Amino acid sequence: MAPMKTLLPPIEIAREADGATLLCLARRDVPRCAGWVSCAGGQLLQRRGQGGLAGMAADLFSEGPAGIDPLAWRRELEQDAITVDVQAAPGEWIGRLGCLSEDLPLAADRLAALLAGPALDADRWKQIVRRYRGSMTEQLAQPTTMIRQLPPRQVLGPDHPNAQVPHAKVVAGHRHADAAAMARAAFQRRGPVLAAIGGDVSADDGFDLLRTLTALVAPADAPLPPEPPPIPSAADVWAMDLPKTTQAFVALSRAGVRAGDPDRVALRLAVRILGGGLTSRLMRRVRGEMGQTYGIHAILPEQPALTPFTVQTYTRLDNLPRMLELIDATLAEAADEGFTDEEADTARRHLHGSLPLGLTSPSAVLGYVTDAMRAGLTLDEIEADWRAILLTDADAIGAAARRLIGDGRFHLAVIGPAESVLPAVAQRGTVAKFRFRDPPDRWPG
Amino acid sequence: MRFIVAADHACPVAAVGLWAMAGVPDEPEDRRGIAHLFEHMMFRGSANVGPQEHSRRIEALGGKYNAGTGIDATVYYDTVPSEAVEEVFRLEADRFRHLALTGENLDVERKVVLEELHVYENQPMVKAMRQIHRRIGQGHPYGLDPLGRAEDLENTTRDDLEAFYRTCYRPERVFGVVAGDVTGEQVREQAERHFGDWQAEAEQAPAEPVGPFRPLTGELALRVPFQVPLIAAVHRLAPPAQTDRAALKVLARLIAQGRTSLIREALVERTHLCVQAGALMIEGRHGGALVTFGAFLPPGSFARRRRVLREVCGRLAANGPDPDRLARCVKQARSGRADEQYDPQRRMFQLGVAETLTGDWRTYENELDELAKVTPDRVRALAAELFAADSTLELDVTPERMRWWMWPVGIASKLWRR
Repeated sequence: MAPMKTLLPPIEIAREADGATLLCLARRDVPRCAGWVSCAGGQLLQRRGQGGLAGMAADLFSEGPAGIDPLAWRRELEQDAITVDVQAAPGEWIGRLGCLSEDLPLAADRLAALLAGPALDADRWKQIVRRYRGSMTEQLAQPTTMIRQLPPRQVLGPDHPNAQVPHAKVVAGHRHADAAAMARAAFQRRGPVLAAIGGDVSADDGFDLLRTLTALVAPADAPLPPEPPPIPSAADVWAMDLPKTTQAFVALSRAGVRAGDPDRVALRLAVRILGGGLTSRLMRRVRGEMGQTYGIHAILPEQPALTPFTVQTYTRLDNLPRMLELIDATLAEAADEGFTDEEADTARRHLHGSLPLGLTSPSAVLGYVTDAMRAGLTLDEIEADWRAILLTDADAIGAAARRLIGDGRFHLAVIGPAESVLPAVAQRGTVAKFRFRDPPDRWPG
Repeated sequence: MRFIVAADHACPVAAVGLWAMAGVPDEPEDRRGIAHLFEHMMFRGSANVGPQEHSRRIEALGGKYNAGTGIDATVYYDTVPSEAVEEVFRLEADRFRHLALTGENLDVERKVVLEELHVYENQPMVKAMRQIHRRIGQGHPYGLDPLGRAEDLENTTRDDLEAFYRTCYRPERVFGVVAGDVTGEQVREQAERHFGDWQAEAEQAPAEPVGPFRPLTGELALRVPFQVPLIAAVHRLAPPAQTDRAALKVLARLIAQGRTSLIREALVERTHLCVQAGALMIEGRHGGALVTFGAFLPPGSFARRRRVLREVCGRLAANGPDPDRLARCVKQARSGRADEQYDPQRRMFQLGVAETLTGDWRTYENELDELAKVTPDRVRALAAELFAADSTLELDVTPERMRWWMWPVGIASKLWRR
């Protein structure tokens, strides 16, 4: 087969009078359908102390429509191998369906019934809280999970929606009334309404179904609250004391970007070269040449609200000073000297070639497109971004790296035994020490 | 050397997997973890390709790659735009046939693998699962996962790796799976070109027979680094050739697929005794285990939860499933299979796992037909065998951090909240 000329297969689009955008991607060889309707909100609405609340509100929503026993509702769905639920994504609420194509009308009816009148039952809320408590107690006891929670809080501050931590003690305090209020206001026109369906369905049928679903989206009773400004921590280093562990878990972070950033293509390439795979600079130097870690990654999420740019890794305790030196030197070199033409060429070809590899199902394609549309891009701009990958030169990628690395002053978070970690980080500025099991309200300011 | 091809031209993408029958039963007793360490060395260069060059070349093709060591086999896989499949064959053939094992590379890669082992051991959940696994494994090779032991990895030499390479990376022990935008003819031609004259250097000495995996039975209470208590039941699985695998797939779905599956409904949704419940299956060529579990927030009685779990399994063993539930499992399987059709890499994996476990990839291709033939009676018979007391271990798992006085304090605070 010849190389691809476009990133996306043909997608049909309808723009409705009420402002909703409908997308349909038919693929008739596989007897499945997946679709959704999405409205701005989700985790964006979480504020200080509300970690996990949006997800719990979505779970409460997913318990079923009013007047139907939740367990009977769930049994019916599973009997027909239908998925119907609501999710809280970083920037949106998503009401989803997935089914064999023979059951599409049934699945659409069930999603419509759910969106039209969720039960939001207080009895089910108790079970959701217990489930989250159990799950978060276990998950946040893992240092590799905990280290991911620290950079957003360090860089963005305790009020930012992307810095809310679903700690067990936090979720235990959430109230049914707050979750129910959040859920009731989820499907409102507080921004673009996007709806998509893909798979074994015709465009006509798909659009009819999406129109039925988007008709259930209510007018907004209030606009989305503005994103709070980031308030970085006053402490340069957060040292989270975890006795008895044999490694230090490390995250260096600075303010990153929002989705739709004008430099997004060059930024993706810079992140790829710095820490995006086995051949990245950080991986080559820290793992490949020195064997100091199993994995080191540069991470730059693109979401509606600001996220941190993070370099994340771990190493044995006695190696921590050497590893930090090596990371500092690698980042400084990238900011000062940029990247080689060979690095730029490999990154361009990899990013350009690998993007379509993840877009093999209609829901993957439509998910990619609706994420980009939520960031304000059109289909043409998505295609242009893909072509721009091959046209971005090493200078532009170097400039993007300089923007990310800035003056090289990163916040540092380290998890490990304090007596081993503190001497290694003492020279990096003000250090705030706290305990691994401290809930987020006791984390440093 | 055999190749399995699943052609599908819907997207210009192909997934290539090379499966070496090199797993934990092939490791010398004092070199546990060598299969996984060897997997890492496969990225360290070969006669014609420098260290990390394989990765760089696949990336430059716009592809993705990785490898994984399982209990019976190690798989190396590359997902690429379909026009790049020939280059994948060239690169894979080069490292499978002409790997460069140097002491210098071993020294660095050993550090990497030890870091990997330690990062898992520093996660309380993984550490707990490894402790349980070892305790119930009764000295069988499957009782220790492919991460192996730190002291064995530290003692592994270049000669050990060379011996492992000669023993396990031979044409008769390697097969390929290609799924996606390729044709059978194209794969045949490229396989012939790059692997056609691959001959093992010497006759292989017969391997020591590995007995069936027979996890511990009876009752056991353990303290491990989980954060919440849980009950579990470990049920012995016979090797795949001796198991009604279609009935097993149905049974696994019946008990644990979805929130209204038998176990989750009984322990979580109806009684609220647990916050999470389900099942996981460890399957290998030499047997395995079906593990059912329920995790709960303290305080609470192990015995009560264990009784409910035992009753659910007992009812299935006595009466079999009702026809509606059986039909639901088959439909869920159809839906899942349809979803797999979109993804060449998933198909490649499923075919490779079927070939590894049963020696016949067709067990995956024919699975939906086989599931449709499963009767309530077959499920009942299998359940009776699996859930029998003499093939079951009942396990109470208490978090290490939990102390006896926490239980009355927990009960008191619960009453106070009411």
